[in-house]
Amino acid sequence: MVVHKGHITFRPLRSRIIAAVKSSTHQHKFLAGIEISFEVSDLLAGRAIGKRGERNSRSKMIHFVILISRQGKVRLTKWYSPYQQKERSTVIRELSGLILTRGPKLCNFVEWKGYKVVYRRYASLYFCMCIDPDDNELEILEIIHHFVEILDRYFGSVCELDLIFNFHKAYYILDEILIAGELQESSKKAVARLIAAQDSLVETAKEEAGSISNMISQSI
Amino acid sequence: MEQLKTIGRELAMGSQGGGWTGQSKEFLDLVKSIGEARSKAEEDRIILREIESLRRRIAEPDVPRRRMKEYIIRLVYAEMLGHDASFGYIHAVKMTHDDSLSLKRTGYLAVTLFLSDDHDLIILIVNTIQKDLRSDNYLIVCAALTAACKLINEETIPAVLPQVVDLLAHPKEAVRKKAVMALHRFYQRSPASVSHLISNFRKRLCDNDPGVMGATLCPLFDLITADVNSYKDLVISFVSILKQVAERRLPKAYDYHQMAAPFIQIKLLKILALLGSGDKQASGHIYNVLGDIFRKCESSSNIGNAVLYECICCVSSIYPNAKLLDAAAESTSKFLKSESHNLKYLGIDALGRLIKINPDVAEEHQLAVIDCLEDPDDTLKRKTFELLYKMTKSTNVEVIVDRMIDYMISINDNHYKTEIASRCVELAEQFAPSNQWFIQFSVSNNFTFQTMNKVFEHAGDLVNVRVAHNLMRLIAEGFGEDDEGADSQLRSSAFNIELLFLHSELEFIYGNSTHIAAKILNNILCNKFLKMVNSYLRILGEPKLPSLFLQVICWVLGEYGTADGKYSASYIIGKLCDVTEAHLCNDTVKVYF
Repeated sequence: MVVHKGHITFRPLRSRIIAAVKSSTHQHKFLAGIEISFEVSDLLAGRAIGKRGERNSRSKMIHFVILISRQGKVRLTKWYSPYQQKERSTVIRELSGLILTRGPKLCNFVEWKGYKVVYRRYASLYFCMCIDPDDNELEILEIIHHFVEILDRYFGSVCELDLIFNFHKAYYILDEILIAGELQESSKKAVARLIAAQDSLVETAKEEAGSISNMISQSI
Repeated sequence: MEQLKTIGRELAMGSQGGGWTGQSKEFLDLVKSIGEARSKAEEDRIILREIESLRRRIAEPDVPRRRMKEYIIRLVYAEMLGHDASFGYIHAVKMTHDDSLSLKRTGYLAVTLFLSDDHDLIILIVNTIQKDLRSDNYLIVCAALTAACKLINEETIPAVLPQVVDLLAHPKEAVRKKAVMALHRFYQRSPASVSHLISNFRKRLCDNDPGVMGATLCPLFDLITADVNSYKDLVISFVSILKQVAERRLPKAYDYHQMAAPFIQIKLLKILALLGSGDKQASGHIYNVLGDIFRKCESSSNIGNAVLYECICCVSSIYPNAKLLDAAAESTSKFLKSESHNLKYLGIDALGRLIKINPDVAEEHQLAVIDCLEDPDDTLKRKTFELLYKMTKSTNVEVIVDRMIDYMISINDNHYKTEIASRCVELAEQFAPSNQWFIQFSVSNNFTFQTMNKVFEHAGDLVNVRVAHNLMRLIAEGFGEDDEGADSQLRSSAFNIELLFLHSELEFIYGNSTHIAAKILNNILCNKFLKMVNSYLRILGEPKLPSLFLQVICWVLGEYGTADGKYSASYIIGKLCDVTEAHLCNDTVKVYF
């Protein structure tokens, strides 16, 4: 609908509407609406909004656990729902931006892409868990604390360094607390007992192997 | 506990010595250098170098097993930082075959972190899992069960199902517990293959070990969500368990921050909320224990408040009971008045639930709610908007929708923006107080509709079609039926231009997609234009019409004048010619002929 002459030309939709609207006084919201529509359309055009993929749509599940440092370095990640490697990097980047910038007095929950992420800061480390929207946020906050308390007992006043150099051990502990995104064990004692049993068996195995190699090296 | 601390310390310190603990000095250096890296690029370089070196070394023949274990751990580390180490997967799989627990455990950890359940390598692992599930060493069984929870998919369930069921009766509680969770996971993957075994869950509910019982609550929750009626007989059992827990009859090990097994209490409350919903008889059993928990809850700790919150959720879903609702309202009050943002958040959520049962509850908390709305904390704001959405009545819809539109402009998350836009429309449709407001809103909403247009163009699925349909009806109806109103609208040129643009937009969309909503609106607008033809023809006779308006009229007449067969083309053209003679100056008007 382009008209070449006359005092009204059909310029691109956007500016046309703005021009028309500025002349009418009682519809001040039009301007706002325009801004919205174009902001959104630009955003949408720039990003592909595909379907979310097959996340488990049942509720009451932890989708992933992420531990990041204050500088955004990853210390531990555990994914209970399917996320490709590229998606994982995106998720971590987005959540870092969202969470690391939040002030200390605000809620420990953020809404993110239709999910909720519960996070808590311990010294220089942020523990984050992603849950479904209608789950009990405060409970998850305490599950995080439960995990931290167990780590603390295991490492003896755990600090970030412990987790950095012994991340595989942190994984073993996490696997005793959460399975398939659900709380498996709420007793610290039970978790500690199992981990201790595993460790002592591993220790014995190492000692045996150590003594054998000693024998071998001595006999050479 | 002391012993545990020393073990932990030794293991941690042992790593500094290097050698047998599976972490050589090389690994420590690697981690240190990553820590000291100044930029992501540097970090990437270090890791890629590491991956290359590992790729070479891991392929060498006769790598000692301990060395291999460390390589695998380093690969896990690399993948955790976002890089690909898929060449190492097969070695991790091989490690699960190892007899020693230390290596097997690492192998299982690595494969559960590396692989997803649809990976090709899973076939190689299933056999190992099967074998390990039958091992004498309960720790190996545990490792296998943990791996099964992640890696077994629909196809491989039959291979391990019989053993897992057997393990439900294993003497060690850790094994039983993991077997329950594995069975639950299988049920989630493929309900059909596990449906005949559901009675096992009921049995495990009576297990001696509270851990196993607690774990069984997970699958039971899912089963009850799917089919409430089959489990109503368990209401009394659940209530009884909850009572015992609340009375501190579980071992002290399950205490957490002075509360007795709070996580188990929460799970039970969620289950009871489902079972009591809409069922007066079932709810009757629950009232007592709920009242007890309300009274006993420690509201000074986070976990205490978490349990309280869950109680409120339970109270608001089961059959209403006045005393409990009062207790819930009181707790909600306390949440809202607290300083903590977390508690305010929960308070808003709880208020939203209570409003469904008793809308007046919101009245006394209006100030607190408004405070939350103004709070800089985005999470709290959003939650409050959700509450407002539930609180909208015809008396306050204008104010609320205004606020929502303002907020919508300010936010960046377009997923959320579309959600709010849809909500605005729903509210307007439901509660529009007057035709006038309707018109204004629908006109202003035309621009919100522009948003919708764009959304349709790019991601039609995002907007609920029903909502879009209602929006269109709303706009169409908003045009007003009486002549006077219609006339004044017609004279409002901006309004008409808007109509025009809307129509052109739609043609564009309509041409590009098959979106139902766009088609519907197009139809509605066409009908409107048809009706307007009469009015336009009438108006044409008047002198001094604004030329913009004239253009609109001409276009409409041109497109639709002959559509309903009432007027012949020549009649319309005749009318238009009269007009041109009267308005000689304007070229643009002529173009419309």
